[in-house]
Amino acid sequence: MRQLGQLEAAVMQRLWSWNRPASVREVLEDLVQERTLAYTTVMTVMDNLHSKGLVRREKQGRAYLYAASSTREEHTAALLGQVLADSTDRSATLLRFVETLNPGEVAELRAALRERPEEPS
Amino acid sequence: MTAALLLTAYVVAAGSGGAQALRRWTWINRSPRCGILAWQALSFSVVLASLLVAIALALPFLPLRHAVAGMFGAHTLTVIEHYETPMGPWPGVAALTVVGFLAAKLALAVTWRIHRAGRARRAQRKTLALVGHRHPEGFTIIEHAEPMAYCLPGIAGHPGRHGTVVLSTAALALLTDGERRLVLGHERRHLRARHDLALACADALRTTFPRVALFSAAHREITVLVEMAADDAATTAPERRTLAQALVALGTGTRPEVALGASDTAAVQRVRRLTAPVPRRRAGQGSIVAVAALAVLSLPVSIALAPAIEAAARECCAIAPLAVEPS
Repeated sequence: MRQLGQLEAAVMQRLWSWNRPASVREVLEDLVQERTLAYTTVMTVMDNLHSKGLVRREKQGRAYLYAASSTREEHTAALLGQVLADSTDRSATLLRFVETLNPGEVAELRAALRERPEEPS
Repeated sequence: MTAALLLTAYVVAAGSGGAQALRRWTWINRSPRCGILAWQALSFSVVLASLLVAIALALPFLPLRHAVAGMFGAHTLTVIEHYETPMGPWPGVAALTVVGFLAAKLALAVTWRIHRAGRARRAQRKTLALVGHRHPEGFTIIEHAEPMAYCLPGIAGHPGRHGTVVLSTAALALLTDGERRLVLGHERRHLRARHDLALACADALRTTFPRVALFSAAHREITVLVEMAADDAATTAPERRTLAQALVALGTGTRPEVALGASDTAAVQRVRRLTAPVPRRRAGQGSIVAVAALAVLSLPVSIALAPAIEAAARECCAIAPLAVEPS
């Protein structure tokens, strides 16, 4: 199962970097440079990605051509939408190291950092 | 009856004024872990006291009366006498209904929160598996122009139960090696100490009882205190400045339109704390707070049991020991 998740990520990374529709065969040929894989495995993975809505496909002759349905940046933006959301709403989901500071605070904190030069403690 | 009234008075007093009293105890913040414990103990003690109000009022007809009588070696009838209200069983029934409803509401709020957080975390993990890369130092990198660092706590019974720390490429570029190490230490402390659970409970209390000043204050304070606790755990004294620098660097961000709206006074407090001379802890501070927490938790229980103890004391003086056996 975990293996499958890693394969999905590997397939998506190829589709994103090629930025054009690709067949199962093409993806397989690129993937086998790193590991041994069966054609049917890659086909299953890409079929899963299609049913999850992560890729769209068109029939080209006898085979399907697959392309990512949204860009990597769009996925990252969706991911970070939650990180950047109002802190009260997301506090149960994740903990952010520091919120974005306003300019007044930045000035104040820079001053605080300058104020006391390294002191032995 | 008296016990229920005293407990109600305690709930009202601690619920409205407890926050102010605890805030006056400023030296608690020198040790954020003690601070978290203090706020949790006071909050839980108010919840406990509310439950006990209903139990004290309903004790004359609850099966629990036999156990209470047995525990102190008093006759059940004497115990009933000490808890009876002039209005008969109705205040007990009403209190049980109200408190039971509120307790169910709180339990639902906590469950719902944990469920929703779990769903959101699973969604985060799925996307991270697609767009993130694994860094050899054991965290996840995402490509993004905004410097960002956060941790995604684990999900019980899920492959990702250990949680993960996420840094954006911009954050990675911005931080020095030393700063990155401290930021990672800070986030890992959150994951290990399960600070997310402390926050979820405080948040559930606050949203279920928005009128109780103590719960709002506890949530606000605990939110800051868990950050300070993670700061402390991640650094040694000479490293505190470095972490403060990382905080300011990451907090500066690159999106001024967002920055204008969101103000994070917690960050200001943390930087001030990290750049100030290392706070010296009072000797035995931890044990003082632990004892105080224990006292604050046992106070409602003692108030609730006082009439039963009194009943037992009276009995042992007035009646022959033969009557000790509970009916």
